[in-house]
Amino acid sequence: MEDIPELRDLATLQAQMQKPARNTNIDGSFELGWGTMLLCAGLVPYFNAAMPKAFWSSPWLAYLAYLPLLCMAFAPFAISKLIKRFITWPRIGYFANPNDLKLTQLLMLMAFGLALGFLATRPIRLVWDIRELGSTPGPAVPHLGVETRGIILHGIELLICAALVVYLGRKVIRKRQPPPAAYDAAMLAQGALGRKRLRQVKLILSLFFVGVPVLLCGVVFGVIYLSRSVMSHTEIHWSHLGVLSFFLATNAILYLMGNGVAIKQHRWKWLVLVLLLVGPIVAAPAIPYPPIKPELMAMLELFPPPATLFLGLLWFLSGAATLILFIRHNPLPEAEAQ
Amino acid sequence: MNEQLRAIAALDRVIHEPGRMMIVALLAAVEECDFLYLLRETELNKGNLSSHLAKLEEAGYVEIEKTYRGKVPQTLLRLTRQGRAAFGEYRRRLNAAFVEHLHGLSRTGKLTPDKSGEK
Repeated sequence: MEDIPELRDLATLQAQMQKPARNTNIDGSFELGWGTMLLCAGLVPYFNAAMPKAFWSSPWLAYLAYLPLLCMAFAPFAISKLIKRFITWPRIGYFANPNDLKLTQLLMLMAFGLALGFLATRPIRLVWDIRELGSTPGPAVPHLGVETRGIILHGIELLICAALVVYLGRKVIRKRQPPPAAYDAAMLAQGALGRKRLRQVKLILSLFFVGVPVLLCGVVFGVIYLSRSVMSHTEIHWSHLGVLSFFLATNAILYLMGNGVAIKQHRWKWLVLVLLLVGPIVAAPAIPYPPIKPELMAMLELFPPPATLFLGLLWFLSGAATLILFIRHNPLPEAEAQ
Repeated sequence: MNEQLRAIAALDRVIHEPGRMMIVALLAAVEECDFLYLLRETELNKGNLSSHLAKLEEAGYVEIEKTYRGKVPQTLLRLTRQGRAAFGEYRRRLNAAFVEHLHGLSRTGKLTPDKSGEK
């Protein structure tokens, strides 16, 4: 088969067309951005606990509490752009991937997420308020009291959110360009051999995207259940275990996909992958748990801050090591010439 | 075999040259890139790359924009709409030639198709 010239040309085309996608995380920028985001997310409860109580009484200073959240939201985008602009492009040349997220798209995505969140929660609040109003005794003809005005305001908010979701949804949910491919699947499926190859590819892809997540989830779930250390301060619930193992498995898959073929070049990343899966369970108890307000306890039990901090640190260190290796192996063109 | 030769002969000669094929394939996968990126990825020398780009520009497949990044000159390259269409057609014809080659091999008995693959 390999001596068929057309197949050789198609393989060359395929290899060339995949090069830009392979270079996406060549500099570790994705890992550094994601690591910073997780570190910010994990630090929020510690930051809140460290601030003096007088800090929260000032309405203006209290806005500073949103600073880690803001860093968290923009870190993956900003860090990746900065590293590419000042380190990567001067070394290997500039290229723009068609599916790269632009700042305006990111802002629209955030606004869409917020509006969608409001749209999902506001109706519950509205129904609750209406039921409260109906249950309180009052005059037969309702008048515009504080409660009624509140309901009207919530209704208007709901309408605005719905309009925003519809408007932004059209812009945000766009069809992404498929990954570039030299092979024409429809044409190759005309032959028996082509059909067989396509079936093999589909099987491998479905195994990767379904089998690997299920397997990783199972492994993490088993390790957490056996150790029971990560949430030793509370009683273990099956739902908490499930969410945490899903969180860790998803995180590991994201690491695997973010690195892609780079993991072949940097074999030490397999060790990082194992640490991402089981490290938080073993190492997180060593990190002190922040004092948490009771109303936030339910959410933070699902995503324990020590585990998030540990994951963030691993991502960050892995990204930093990748960046250092990239700089070492890719000198600036001027330096290379000397 | 005639069908197979016809399929190969129908390939776009501007693209069907190893150097230019690499350049067009790389440009098809990105929105735009600069000269340094192509130089590294294709491993051609500056002279060869420039001459291939000039041919592609002459055919209307590539757009070349000379600009500056700060004080450093930068040459931005992107496929034109015509170039993308030509590359799409080239890929389609190359796939057709490959399929025709496989048919030819199975007709002459040099390639036995897997019976389990038949519907």
